[in-house]
Amino acid sequence: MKTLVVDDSTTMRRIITSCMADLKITDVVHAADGAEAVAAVQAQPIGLVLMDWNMPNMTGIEALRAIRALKMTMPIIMVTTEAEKERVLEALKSGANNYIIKPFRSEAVVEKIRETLTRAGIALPGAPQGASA
Amino acid sequence: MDVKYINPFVESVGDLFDSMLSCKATLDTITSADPVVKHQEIIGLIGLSGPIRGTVALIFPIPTVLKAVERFTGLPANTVDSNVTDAVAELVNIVAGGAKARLNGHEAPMTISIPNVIKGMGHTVLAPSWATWIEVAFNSELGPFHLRVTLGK
Repeated sequence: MKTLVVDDSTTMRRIITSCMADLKITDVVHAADGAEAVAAVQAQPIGLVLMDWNMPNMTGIEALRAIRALKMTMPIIMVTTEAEKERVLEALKSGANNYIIKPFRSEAVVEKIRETLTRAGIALPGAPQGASA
Repeated sequence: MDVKYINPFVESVGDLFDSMLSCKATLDTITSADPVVKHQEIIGLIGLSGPIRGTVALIFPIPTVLKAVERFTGLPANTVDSNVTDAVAELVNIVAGGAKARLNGHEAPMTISIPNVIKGMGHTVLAPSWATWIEVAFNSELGPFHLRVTLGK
């Protein structure tokens, strides 16, 4: 399963990618803004997206809506400093499957990814066939 | 500057250090800031705008920032390079974001600018004429650092 990590901060992309190694998610591609994210999901099969909100060129919420408008249903988790309840609701109504607020502990990222993939009926890498996350 | 604006930033720094740097940031002093940066330091600067506007800065001595970035990223940091400056930008972004969420409970929504990172010594960081910098000194196992805030309506 290929995972897309979207954040304008190289540091944050590295941190999130490192968190996912705990789940043996190692096939990871990066995008630095929403426009790159929309292009990436159209260019290759992406099974999971972790998306920042505030980015130049195209924000994460705009990219989320654009991806859903393309009828793409892969799980998308917002990873952002936008912590207000209204923002969380806006993201969920726009099609996000889950939400992680920065700052975060790596265990919280792992748990949110596991929870999201379980709900979507997607197996983690290395899981026996037929078993979900 | 209304002192009620300081606490959200202090709490946000505490949250960041606790969750992503695995240590406590202990508040030491709160004073009016000297605008001149006397020592070799790294400054992460970010602006806030909206009904409340101003600037937030995280100021790290070089030894502190290298340890903080290593802890933050899990990668060695021996010199102030683009990885370190990118990490500092993200640190100040997270502090500002956490404070914004706390402030928005009391005020109308604010927006946060793209962060900037400045490295050097002997330069002056001035606040706008309507504002006063408040400086909060912290200690941590990674070393001392400062938070500066200037906010107003």
